[in-house]
Amino acid sequence: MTKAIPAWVLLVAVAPAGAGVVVSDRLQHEVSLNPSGLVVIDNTAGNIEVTGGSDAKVVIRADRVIRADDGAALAEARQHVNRVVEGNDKTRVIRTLGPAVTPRWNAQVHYTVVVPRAANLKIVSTHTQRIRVAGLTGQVTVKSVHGPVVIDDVAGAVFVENINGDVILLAPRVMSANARLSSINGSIAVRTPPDAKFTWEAETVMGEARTAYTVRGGQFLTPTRFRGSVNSPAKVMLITETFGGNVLVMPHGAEESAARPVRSMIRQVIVPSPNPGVGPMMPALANRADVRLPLHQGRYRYETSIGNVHIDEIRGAARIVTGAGEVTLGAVYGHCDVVSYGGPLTLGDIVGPLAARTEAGNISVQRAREGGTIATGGGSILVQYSGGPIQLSSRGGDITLRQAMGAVTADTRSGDITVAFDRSLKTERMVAKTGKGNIMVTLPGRFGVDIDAEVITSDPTVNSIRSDFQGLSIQREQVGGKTRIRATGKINGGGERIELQAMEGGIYIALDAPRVSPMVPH
Amino acid sequence: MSECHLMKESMPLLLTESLDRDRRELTHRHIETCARCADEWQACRETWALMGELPEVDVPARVREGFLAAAGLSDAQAAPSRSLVPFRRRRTVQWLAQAAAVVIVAGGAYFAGHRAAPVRVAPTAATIASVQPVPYSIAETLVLPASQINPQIEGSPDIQNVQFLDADGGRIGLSFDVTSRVTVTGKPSDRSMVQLLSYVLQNENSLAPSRSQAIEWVRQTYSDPEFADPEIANALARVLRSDQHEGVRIRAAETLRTLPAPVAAETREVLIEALKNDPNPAVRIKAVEALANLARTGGDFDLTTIDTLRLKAAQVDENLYVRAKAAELLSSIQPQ
Repeated sequence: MTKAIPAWVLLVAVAPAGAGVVVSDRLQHEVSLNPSGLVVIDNTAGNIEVTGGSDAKVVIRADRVIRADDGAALAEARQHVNRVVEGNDKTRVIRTLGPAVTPRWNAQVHYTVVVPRAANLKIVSTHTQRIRVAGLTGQVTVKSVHGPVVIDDVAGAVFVENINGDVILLAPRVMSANARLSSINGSIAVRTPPDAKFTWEAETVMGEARTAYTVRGGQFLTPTRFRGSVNSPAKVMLITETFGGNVLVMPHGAEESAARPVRSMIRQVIVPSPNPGVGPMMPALANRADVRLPLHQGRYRYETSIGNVHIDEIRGAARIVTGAGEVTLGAVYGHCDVVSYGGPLTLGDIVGPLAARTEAGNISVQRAREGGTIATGGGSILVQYSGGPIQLSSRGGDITLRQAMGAVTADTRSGDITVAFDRSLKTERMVAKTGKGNIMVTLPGRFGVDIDAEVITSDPTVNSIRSDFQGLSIQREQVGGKTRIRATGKINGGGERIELQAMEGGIYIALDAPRVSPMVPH
Repeated sequence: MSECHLMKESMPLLLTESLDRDRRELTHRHIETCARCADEWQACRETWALMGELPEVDVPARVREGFLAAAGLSDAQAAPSRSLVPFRRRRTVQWLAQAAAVVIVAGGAYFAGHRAAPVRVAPTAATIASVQPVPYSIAETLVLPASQINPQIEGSPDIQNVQFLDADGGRIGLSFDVTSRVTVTGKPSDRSMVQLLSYVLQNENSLAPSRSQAIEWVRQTYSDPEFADPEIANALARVLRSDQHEGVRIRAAETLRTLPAPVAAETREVLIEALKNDPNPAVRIKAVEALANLARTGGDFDLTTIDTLRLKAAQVDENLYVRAKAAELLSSIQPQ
């Protein structure tokens, strides 16, 4: 049986001049629900509090609070923001309709709902200030963006996804169901009975996972994910995941100061890398700090599991490793070894040999005076000047070397390769391969090399080999439905070997001289 | 100097063996003694040979009728004069042949091209010993202001060998091959220029020497709020969504990141798709940065965006830097 109780409590507050009006009104409603039915609450802004009751009904109290500039805006808000209850005895949906904010008004609806104790509950909210669920035995699912989510004495399975708010679980006396609690930027706190037995998985990238329990068989599955058994192995699973926050799992009544980081109780650290790339495995370090320095005298060494590094000048060799972060170095006077598990690298004047690798992101180098090795797992590479032999590798992205003074090796899975040799050079070796893209090599007028260039393409009218130099012989043949175009020969009498291979792209061997046709500006 | 000028005018006639004996002798002697004219003569010979290899392609009836109507000509009037050289189209460069079938930029370029005086010599054959591949077309070049071009591009004209130019006074230029070499110049905000750029950005085979560099040029020009245009943003979004070239996709996402939010707002869906599905981590990084730019400059987060970012930040097998960027962006959502 459904019983509606219209109860309007109108509160009009005349705010100080310029602040408009604040109006609150209450709607109460009662609807029947099977004891194990489902209640869905979909609210945009406002608090939600749900408790378990003994009756087979849902009791809803919905307070709508509107802040408006004036009477007209208030009327508009009242018209647009509505509370509705839908469904049947098996499923009840409590929903707020309408926008929460407009330029002239904003509205919140605070729900206080009593549901049958065994009912299942699902809450979806975007801008809720606080969600609290207590005294249920059914399954609880909460999805929220802001504000803390508190789950108190819920015996059923619990699934919480929050983004910027904390998640707090106060477990019942007997833990018999799984719980998965996650937040992106918030922390997670769990209180369980001292004798509770469960398997605990904790992941935090930026924060720390701590507990006062004795954890058996604790180990890191990844550099950031820990698993262990609390008290003794059990089927009940507690998963706590956050990116930027901390995780705390404690017995009821225990002092927080008794908690220890799980890193201190691990049996061994396992750092698997399922798909190892050019970068290193992420360093399993507690250090997660950024570095910003104008100058460092002498040799510099820094490792962090996650963090950005920005140093204007290092007067010595540098060795920098970050699990994830941007690395920006203005000048390094010695050997430079930079590794990022993910993030762009921006390097200025590197006096010594350079080794720069990132698992993801672009790499930009102003001057690699002694050349070196530069690799990215995905991203573009731009080197303005290389004074020695250089190897450039990308698993997807363009490679550009504006001025090469030494041998060049460049390969990319998909991207253009553009290399220009310095005008003072007479000959130099080069190998360039792209899995999809063009290769453009600019040679000085007196550069002597043996050319072996190959294009494999399904569209030979578009992709071809072009050269500003005379003396290349070009052959075409059909290979597996594609056309292979090969140009070989000596330029300026020959010299070192230049090998170029472009799949589904063209090759252009250009003369380094002013052209009639302007090129795309660099 | 004036002698060289006269000799250059004689070259087409020399090429078709239409000069009288004395004039022909005089021209040959000059070419033998003048390096500049010798180069010019060599270029003429190569062009002539190249054009001789192109296949014949008929102009589509619709295009022909449209052009004749615009020019106020009947079919009979449009018949080629007997004094015209029957240029054979170049076989080896398919794009130019196809381009003959298309009126690009709605007749403006075509009309101007038609008005350019053809070489009026008798049609006789010429023999060329060898042909060197040339990097760019050396056909006749037309320079057209964008203001004289209809911004509507009909059909899918095959324009090739596109290059970008920075002209004086804040003007830009776009040079490409169609029936001839055409350069369109104008302000970045000219509708015709925007339409033309949008079109060529999505034409995978048209940009030389590098599509990535072309997109970089677009970034430098259109990141300025004064010139930013939704049409350009949408063209970049389509490149980001469908281009197979990873370097190009990185550039497209990078460029979208620099566009003002009101202009790039419609690209949000494509950015989300790239963040979710692009196999290249650099594209995903740029996509999340572009979404952050949209949010920072006034764009709202819809539920789809929030869900995508949440999943990305929590995705264990995603690159940690991408996760960190997604989490950072989520933290900027303000409660209402």
